[in-house]
Amino acid sequence: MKDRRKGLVSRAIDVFDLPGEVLAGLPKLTVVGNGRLHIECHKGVLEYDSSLIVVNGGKLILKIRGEKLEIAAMSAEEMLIRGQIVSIEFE
Amino acid sequence: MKSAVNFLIGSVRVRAECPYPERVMNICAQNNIPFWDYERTGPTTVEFSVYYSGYRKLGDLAPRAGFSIERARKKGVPFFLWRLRRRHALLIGLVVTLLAVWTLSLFVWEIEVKGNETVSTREILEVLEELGVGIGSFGPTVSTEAIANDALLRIPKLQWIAVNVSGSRAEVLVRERIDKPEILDKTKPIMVYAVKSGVITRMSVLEGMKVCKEGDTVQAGDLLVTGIMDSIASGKRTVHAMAEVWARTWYDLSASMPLKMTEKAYTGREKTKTALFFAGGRLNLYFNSGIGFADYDKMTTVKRLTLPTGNVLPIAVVKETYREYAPQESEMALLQAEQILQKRLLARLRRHIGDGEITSTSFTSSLHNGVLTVTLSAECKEQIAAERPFTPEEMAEALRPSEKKTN
Repeated sequence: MKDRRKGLVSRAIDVFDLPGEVLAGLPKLTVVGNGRLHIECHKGVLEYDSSLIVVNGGKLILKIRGEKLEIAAMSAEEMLIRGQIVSIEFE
Repeated sequence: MKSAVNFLIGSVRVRAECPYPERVMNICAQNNIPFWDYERTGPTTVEFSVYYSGYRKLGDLAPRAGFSIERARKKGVPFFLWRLRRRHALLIGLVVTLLAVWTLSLFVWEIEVKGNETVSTREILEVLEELGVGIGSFGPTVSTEAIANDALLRIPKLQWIAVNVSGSRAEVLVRERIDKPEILDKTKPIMVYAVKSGVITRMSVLEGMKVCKEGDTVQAGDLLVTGIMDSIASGKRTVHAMAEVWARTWYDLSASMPLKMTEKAYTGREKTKTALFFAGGRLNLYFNSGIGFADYDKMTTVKRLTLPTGNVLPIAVVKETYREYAPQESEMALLQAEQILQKRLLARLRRHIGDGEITSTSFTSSLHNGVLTVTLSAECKEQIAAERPFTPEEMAEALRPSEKKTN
C-alpha cells in the first residue's frame, strides 16, 4: 500500500511537473562551486564537525565531507554550509 | 560589517553542555534564534554566539530540552553602557557635552557670501557686523528680514540680499544692481583730442570734423576731431565727436639699478609660533614672544579647520615662521643686470601703450659709479584719441571765427 502511494506521488510529480522537494519531503541542495552549499527543507543537524556535517534530510541523510566546514546560517527550513566541500553523500 | 552590527546590538558567547551538542543547534534553528561562530570545545560542550534576546530564549528552553547553558562572556555597546550606568560623572559629562554642542550650534560661526562680483565680501561682512550678524552672533535673535532691508540701504550697489541662518552657518545671498547704460547725448559738444604725441597714420572718424589728417604730427592735448561743425541753417552745430586715431609714437624710457646689492643668506635657523583664532580672538600657543634674530623673514600661514564633510569650523590655526638671514654683499653680472632692466622696461612700455603694438626697440646702457642705467628707445603704433567735453573758453574760441565771418 505504502509503495503504491509512493509510486503515485512520484508519478504525480513527474506528470504535473511539481516541486518534488515539497511534496516528497526531499531536501533541495544548491551547490556553488565547492565552497557553498545551500540546503532547503532539512530536518536538523545530526553531526557537526569541521570535517563532517551530517544533516537530516527527512527521507535521506546527507553527509557533507570537507575541510573547515561551518554552518554560516541556519533556520528551521534552510541551512548554508561554507568551507571546502570534498563530497556529498546520500544515505 | 556584520561584526560591527553585532557589536552595536550586543552579543553573548554561550557555552552549552549537552550529550548531543548538535541538538542545541537544531533547537536554535527551530526557535528562530540566530547564532554564529559555532565551535565544538569538547565531546559534549559547544560554544556559540547569540544576541541577548536569543540568550534569554535559550535560557527558558534549556531545562526543557535537557541541556544546560552558561554565559562565557558578553560584548557590545549595550553591555558597555550598562556597566557605566553608575558612573554619574560620566553621565553628567555626556549631558554637559550635548548641552555645549547644542548651545554652540545656536551661534553663528561661519558666514558665507555668495553672488557678489563687484561689491567685496569684506564690505558686505562689515555692514552685516554693524547690523548684528557676525561671527559669534546668537542665531535665534537674528532678524534676517530686517537685516536684509537695512543692508540694502547701506550698500546701494546691491539690488537684493537674503540672510539665511541655519544652525551655526549663515549664508548671505546677494544680487548686485546692474548700472543703467550711459545714454550718449549726441548734441553735447565733445571733442576728440590726442593723449600722446605722435604722427597720425590712420583716422577713422565716426562723428565730428577732422582737424588734422594722416601724416600730421600732433602733440599730446592737440585737438584731433572737433564737435563743432558748420551748419547752413544756424551757422554752427554741436555734435559728440567720435573717432579712432592711430599714430606712430616714440618712447624713451630708462631704468637704473646698482650692481652691488645686499642679498639675504639664510642661516637655516627657524622659529615657528602657533596660535589659534577662535570667534574673533587669538590664543597664542607659546609663552615667549621674543624672536631672538636680528634679521628675519616672517611667513604667516593661516589654515581654517574643516570637517571631512567640507564644513568650515570657526577655528583657524596660524603658523608664523621666522627665518633668520644674514645680509650679504654681492655684485651682479653686468649682462644679467642689463637683461633684468630690459625686461622691466619692456613690461613698463607694454603697460603704457595698452592695446598698441611695439614696432621697433633699441637699448643703450651706461655704467656710472656702479649704477647701471638702461635706456629703451621704442617706436610704437597705438590709439591716441580720447574724448572730452569742451571747456567754456574752448567753446567761445571755436565759435568766434564764424562770428567774425558773418560780420
